[in-house]
Amino acid sequence: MNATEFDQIVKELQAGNEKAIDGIFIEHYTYVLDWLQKKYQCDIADAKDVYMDGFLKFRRAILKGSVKHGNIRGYLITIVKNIWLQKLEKNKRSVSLDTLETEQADYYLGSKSGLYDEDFDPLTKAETANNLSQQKSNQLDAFQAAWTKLGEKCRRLLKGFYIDRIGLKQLQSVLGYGSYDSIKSMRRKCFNQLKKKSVDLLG
Amino acid sequence: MERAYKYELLDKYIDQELSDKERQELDALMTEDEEFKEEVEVAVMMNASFNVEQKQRWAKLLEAEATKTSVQPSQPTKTSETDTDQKETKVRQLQPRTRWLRIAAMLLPAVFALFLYLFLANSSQTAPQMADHYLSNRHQAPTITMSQGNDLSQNWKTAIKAYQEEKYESAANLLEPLTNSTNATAEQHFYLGLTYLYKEKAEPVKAIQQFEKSQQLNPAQYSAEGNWYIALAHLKNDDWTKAKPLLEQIVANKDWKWQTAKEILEEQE
Repeated sequence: MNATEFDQIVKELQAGNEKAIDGIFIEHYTYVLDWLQKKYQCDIADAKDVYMDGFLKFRRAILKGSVKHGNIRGYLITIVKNIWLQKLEKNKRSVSLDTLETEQADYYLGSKSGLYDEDFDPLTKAETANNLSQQKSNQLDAFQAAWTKLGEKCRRLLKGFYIDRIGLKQLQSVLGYGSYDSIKSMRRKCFNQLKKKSVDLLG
Repeated sequence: MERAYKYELLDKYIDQELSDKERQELDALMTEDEEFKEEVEVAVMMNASFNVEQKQRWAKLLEAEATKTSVQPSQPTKTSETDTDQKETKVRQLQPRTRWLRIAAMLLPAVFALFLYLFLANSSQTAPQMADHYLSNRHQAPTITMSQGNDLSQNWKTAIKAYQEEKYESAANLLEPLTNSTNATAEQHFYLGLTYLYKEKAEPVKAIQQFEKSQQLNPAQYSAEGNWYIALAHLKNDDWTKAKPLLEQIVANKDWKWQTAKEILEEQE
């Protein structure tokens, strides 16, 4: 892939074509998995998980303009390495009952904040949707149903802001809004619509 | 291009990259600003849904690549030397493009088998296979609050530890005498049920008995979760006639896991 092809891929991704980066995903998959297994002796299932999580971050880095043609593999390796090391660190902290008790003690003694409640690991839990409380699980179900009912314009805007992490000023030109105020107001309107639909579906 | 600082904190929260100081800042923001707190919750759900969708799509992509590499280019028939040379050249030209895919397929058969196991939802999956798929995401281990800590028996603590470490055989051995006592709690019965399902040689019938006991002792806590795992236990036992009405009940009541229950019912139809 040359620089022009890469620029084209970036433009397509910015326009909402998620398949634009599929080729990159496939191209580096085997190498990165092999690297992870050789470097850290992680098993293949873990390596696959780490690669997928890493590629999600890589996708956002492309949207931000942090990835240049020519450093794709290096960038991916750096991301997956950090994710793997974070996982190791987290596993070390959660493995023993004594550690669990220490964490609980810190929580109840107030030296840690509300973010350390049972849903602190929000994204992983929400993704698996298995360790959520029943209430949270129902909220997630309602949210997913509400998302599909949202109009395309709102979905693009909310996705751009909350998932792709693009600032409103940049989104204004990407999505063709006339002014910063209009996109700011639309974001609020779309968010409230999503919230209302979720609440209605939750019953 | 810049996002307000609070949205940078939100991004880092979702990516689990907050420093301790940033955690406190975000916590304070969420305490002061109810609207922002709602935004955080919705952003988490948005990202989670998107991530799951992408991962499923990539898994199917890898599966499709694996299928492509198993189709070999056909041998050209000899009509003339020139034709043959041209066709053979074409085959050779194809090889560099597909060769790495074939190597990946040879090197990673277990990975693709795992993808098929985890992500391929089709009606040819047996009920026990389906149960294994949904059981692969383990239920969170019990938590112990500080106020409970000193009162809990050593056996229960050790059983929790064994469960956390996924040593389900040991966990079951520790939980069985606890659940035989008259003071056994609904939670202990529930987790014994789970260990019976997660063990290498699962015992779904015994699991169902434990879930039912937990539901009798504490219906408010374990009615919905118990029904889900009882349904999975029936699937594990290859008893679709018993699993089906329970799954239908979960969907009708929009109980815990109702959307997943709906998927299972649709797959089986």
